[in-house]
Amino acid sequence: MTERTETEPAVLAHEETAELLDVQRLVVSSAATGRRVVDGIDLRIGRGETVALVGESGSGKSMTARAITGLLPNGLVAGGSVHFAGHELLAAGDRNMRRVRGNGIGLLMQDPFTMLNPLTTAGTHIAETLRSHRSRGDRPVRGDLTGEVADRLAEVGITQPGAARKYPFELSGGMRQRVSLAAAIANDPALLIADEPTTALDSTTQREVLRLIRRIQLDRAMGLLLITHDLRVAFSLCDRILVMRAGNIVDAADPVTLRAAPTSDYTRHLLAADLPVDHQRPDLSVDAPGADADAVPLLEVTGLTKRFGTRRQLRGPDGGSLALDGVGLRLSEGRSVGIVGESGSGKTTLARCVLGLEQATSGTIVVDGIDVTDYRTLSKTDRHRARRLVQCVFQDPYSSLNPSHTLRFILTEAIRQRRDNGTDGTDGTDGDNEDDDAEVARLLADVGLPENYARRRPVALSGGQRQRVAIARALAQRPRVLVCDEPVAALDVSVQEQVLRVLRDQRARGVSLLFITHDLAVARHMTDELVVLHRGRVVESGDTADVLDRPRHDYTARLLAAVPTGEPAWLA
Amino acid sequence: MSEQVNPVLLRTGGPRLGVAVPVCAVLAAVIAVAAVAGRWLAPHDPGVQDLLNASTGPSATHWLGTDDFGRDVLSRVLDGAGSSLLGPVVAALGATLLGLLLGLMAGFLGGAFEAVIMRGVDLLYALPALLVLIVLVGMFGGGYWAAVGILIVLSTPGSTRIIRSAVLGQRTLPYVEAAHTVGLPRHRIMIVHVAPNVLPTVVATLLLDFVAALVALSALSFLGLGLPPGSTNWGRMLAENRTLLELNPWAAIAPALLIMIAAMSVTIIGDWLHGRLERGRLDHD
Repeated sequence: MTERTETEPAVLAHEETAELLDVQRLVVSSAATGRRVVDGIDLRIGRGETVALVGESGSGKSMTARAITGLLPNGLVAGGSVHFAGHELLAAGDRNMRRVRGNGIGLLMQDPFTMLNPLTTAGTHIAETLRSHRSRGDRPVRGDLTGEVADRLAEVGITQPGAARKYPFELSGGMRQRVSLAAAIANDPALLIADEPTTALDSTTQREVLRLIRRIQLDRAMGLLLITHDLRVAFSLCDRILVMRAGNIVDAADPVTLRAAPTSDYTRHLLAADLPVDHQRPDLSVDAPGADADAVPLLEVTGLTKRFGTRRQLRGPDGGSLALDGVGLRLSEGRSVGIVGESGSGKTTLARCVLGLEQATSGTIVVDGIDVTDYRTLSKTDRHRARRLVQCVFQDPYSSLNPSHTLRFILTEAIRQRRDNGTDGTDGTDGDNEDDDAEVARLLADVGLPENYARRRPVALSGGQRQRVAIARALAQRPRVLVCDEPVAALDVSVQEQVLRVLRDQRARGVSLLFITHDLAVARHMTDELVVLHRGRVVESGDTADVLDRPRHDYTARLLAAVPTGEPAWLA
Repeated sequence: MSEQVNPVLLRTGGPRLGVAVPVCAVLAAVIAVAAVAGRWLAPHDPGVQDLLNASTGPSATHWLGTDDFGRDVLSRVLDGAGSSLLGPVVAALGATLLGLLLGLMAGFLGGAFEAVIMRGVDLLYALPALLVLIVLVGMFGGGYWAAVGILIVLSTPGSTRIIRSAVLGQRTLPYVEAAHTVGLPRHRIMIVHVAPNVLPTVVATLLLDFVAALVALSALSFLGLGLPPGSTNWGRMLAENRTLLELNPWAAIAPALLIMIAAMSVTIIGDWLHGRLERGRLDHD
């Protein structure tokens, strides 16, 4: 295998000296308004070369890929030139483009959950690609294909017998992405375009899929255009990196050069915003009070178990599916406890139980002396007090704010609700004479937004700004515990930092955080203690630094190893 | 300010204005003006008979000719616009408001509310509305407004179902959960947070209900139920003037055409408006 990788590119390069893909002055603009999404970029990929297009959302990176493959959404038009293996693609008709896609260029998209047809088996997906692009003369018979499909699946590491007969819903996200990859490369394309191929996957699966792409790319000396928001993934995988911003390429270099000496301010900014996992950046740290084992914790969860299922399943022998299995944790005043784990580990279920949005099957949750395990059974005063004490910041800032109302309305409503809930004596009532508008302005200032934003509706804000409004809404209750459920997972790197700073400021003011994240680098910076969840069980917990520097459990070690380092060795 | 590009803004597949929508808007506006001011716009008194000039075709004095009593057809359709459209408007408003209330309660509160409301809805839904309407009005009389009342009851299940499903789509969104965690009472979340977000569906339901009610009430009037003879209701006029098809076809075609145009233009506008409102909620305002 390794011999092939060294010889084949040379042979190919000998045969065909021109670039595999040569994009010149590519412009993608709106047909109606003329606004440019991609503003005249040049891009060249040689045979067997790997190039990354890195940028944040809205930078135009995905539209570049779509323009190259002729898959622009309605209303957008492309200009300039795209040469692929000697053919001009922009001028090619639909028919010719179809031949190029699949045969010449393979496409791998972000979301493995919607990319495969749910009514079609894994094997059929691949067979379909094989069949549709064969010339009529040598269309292979059915028996041939079964064997070939198995070969193709084996190439992407799916070797279990019968895998080809499985439907997408029977496969995990990583497996689906492998099937998609097998289908994308079934016709041995000379170029693979992978658009955020691992963004929707768990970190450990991400590494496996990236390794697979790397190996296949080397084996076949295939060109690769990787589109990603993650600089470190690009560093590990690619020969050349192009950094895109607002439709332009602002930096182009090999990984080593780019890391050492980025030419543009933007790239420098991106590199600086990247959080390290192995140490804490001093500018984000907080002097948290030390752990005091004797103190009464502000939030204490003991033996929390949650089962999901229908009433009959819950009564049956398996008792439904187990999302949380005897989880316990303590959060003391002013501390920050992180909960880390992959998707399906029960992190979010735990948060929802604490917030009373989900009813635990057994176990107890105590907040400042109030047993809130079942919000419905609380007295009105206790319920109001508990609601005020514990507030939440949700993951998706695009749906956690009501699109129908202005920020002033959203914040004023929360402020009035706090007053209705009454003061509980623990909270100084100093601000309660403040008039609503003044308090709205102060809340916006707390999260770093200008006062005049109060008139806006959520649609007029970017994702990061929305998330800060969501934090302001939570703060309007003057909570002592802030449950943050992946608060920065949906945000771009440069925006993440702003939101984390807002949360850090709140920590500095003594608000305790229950911080749920899959990102260990974020956990390193935002938490004092860590709880590692795996399939609903706590497998390890302790001081954040201890857990991350000296993981005692296999699973924690696996999670740590899956964090991209930016070194090529990470994918070796 | 470094704004991110909202991916929604890039999607340009929103509803096109095209030709149909403006044309329908103009037609609907003309009909609306006639409904409000038809009585005063009418060139002749709609009730005055002129038996010497009965059943004549269109002429300079009578643009749409006269009916078999010699009454001016144009004046009569103008006069009848208000009474023909008011009933459907009331029926649609009633059914949609009831549907909104029940749909919100069933969708948002769930539990026993939902069970009771939705089973009731299923029950009413199983009845053939027009048939029930004809039988009830025919048997018990009660006139036009009784028919409108029955129509409200019969069309509420449809609006309830549609609005409930829109509410179900909103109920699990994080902004609703956020409102719960802030501690807002349920009725406030339902009315202040969920209701505005199902508005596009409500508007579409309102317009579709209007069209259904217009057709149903016109049919009822056509059958002679609910309204006295000689009334200028379009359905009634269509029924009475169908015998004149050979002498002055316009006496029958005009009211028929108006019912059709009113129904069609409102349907098309409703469809477009729904798409626009849905999109407007996501886009910049």
